[in-house]
Amino acid sequence: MDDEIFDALVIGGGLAGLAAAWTLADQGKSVLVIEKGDYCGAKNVTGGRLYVSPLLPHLGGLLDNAPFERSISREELCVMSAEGSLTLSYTDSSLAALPGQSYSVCRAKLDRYLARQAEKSGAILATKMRVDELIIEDGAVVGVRSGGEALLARTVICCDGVLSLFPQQAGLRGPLEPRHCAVGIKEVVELDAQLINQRFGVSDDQGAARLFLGDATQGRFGGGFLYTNKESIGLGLVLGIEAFSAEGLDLTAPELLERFMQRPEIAPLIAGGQSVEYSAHVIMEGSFDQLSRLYGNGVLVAGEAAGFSLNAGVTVRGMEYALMSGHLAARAVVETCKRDDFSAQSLSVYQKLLEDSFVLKDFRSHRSVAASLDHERFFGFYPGFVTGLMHDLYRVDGPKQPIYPTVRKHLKASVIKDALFKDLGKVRKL
Amino acid sequence: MTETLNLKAKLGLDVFKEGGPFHIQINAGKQDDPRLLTCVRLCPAGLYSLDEQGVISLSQDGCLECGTCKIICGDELLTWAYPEGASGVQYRFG
Repeated sequence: MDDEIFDALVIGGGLAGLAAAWTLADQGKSVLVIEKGDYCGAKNVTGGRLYVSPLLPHLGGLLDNAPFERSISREELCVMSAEGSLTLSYTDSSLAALPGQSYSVCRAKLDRYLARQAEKSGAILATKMRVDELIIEDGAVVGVRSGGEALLARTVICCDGVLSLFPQQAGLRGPLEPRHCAVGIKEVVELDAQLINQRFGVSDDQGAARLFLGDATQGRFGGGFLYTNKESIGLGLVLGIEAFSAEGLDLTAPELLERFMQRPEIAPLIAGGQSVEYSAHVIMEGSFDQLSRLYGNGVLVAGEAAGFSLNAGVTVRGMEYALMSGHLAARAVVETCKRDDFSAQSLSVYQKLLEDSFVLKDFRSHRSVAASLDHERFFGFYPGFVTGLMHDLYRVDGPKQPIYPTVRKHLKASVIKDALFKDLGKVRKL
Repeated sequence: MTETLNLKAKLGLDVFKEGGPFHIQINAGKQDDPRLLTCVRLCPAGLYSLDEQGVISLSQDGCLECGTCKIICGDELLTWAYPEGASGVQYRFG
């Protein structure tokens, strides 16, 4: 490797890095991917599900036979208070149709498959290697240092994940702030496929996604999630780091997960299963305004390293932005190779490609969503209001009011009028 | 209900490979910074603990490399790098 100057060197063999490598190799460019794990996917965690539909026109060749788990045919939302919960379950003929619009995935399986595809296309993959630092000369990134070895490239694509260490070294972004980050903790519980089908009302290839709001996080910023895989269930919590830095909390993050898993809404779903993995991953909960600068002299940033994860309330997305931004970073490198100019100005074509794609269109259209979601009433007050109303509608233990007066009684309470008035403006931004 | 596992048993489900020095250090003189108390609460692997004298210590076994502590504390309190290649947690599901 010593003498070769690669067209591109990719830091990190996750979704962004592998999409970039596959695309570059497919276009005849020389590309080296450096991954610190034993194999691609060894250091990665997802909730999680991948929305495939927007990617297929661009990355169909990479994803067509990828090892997905189940097509998500049921979209569910569970609003929890300490005492009760209300679960909405939505399905329709298009969600139930195959191929599906989104699939649950296990990263250790998916990323290894994508790595094989990238290698088949001609990318060179170096696993078990950690990049120690970028090599920067005269304000331009010209390669990386790894284990004392200097590796040179015309461009370096930083796909090093959410902590974004190399974009920071390149001066493309500042340190991450607690108020823009959450930590996800997850457990994988193995369970017989037939039991999963029965418990979620799905067939072999189909699955459910359920998000939890409210008491799952004791009313603080965050939520719970559950995705059905083929023969396992991945479930866990996402906790806003700033919200959980406050005083007055007695439970630790692992204790909150345990409490969540013992809730009557969860325990029967995983009963008889066996826990097989415990994992954690930081998630950017920012928005357009927290994105990294996306390019510099000799350097591009893709995937979570760029801040490409988007919480839009009922959909939480990251992986398709990783794959698409990696793909577009590669296309930008192909363009710049033609003119043999790897300056920031030349690489700015990457920004243009992103602006024209669903990636930056989504981030621009959701610019104000993150700030609106970050409100304790959405996580504490409203879940309690909803379950309180449901309690009164369904409870029978004496003379009973009809539906309308019961609803009116709840809506007339001054606290809810006050809250609704204040939050109407926020809701309009969702 | 699946058998309730304590945190040590949960971490015991994961594959960890040894290698190189531990990749997180609390910087000298910063052991009693209050931000470390948030790490005690939020570290998914429970690596940060508070003893009876009020001193916070950092255990080395079972780090999931999530970076939550790095984000809470910043570079002023912690020296934080990923473990060397081919060491640390290796997820089989992810």
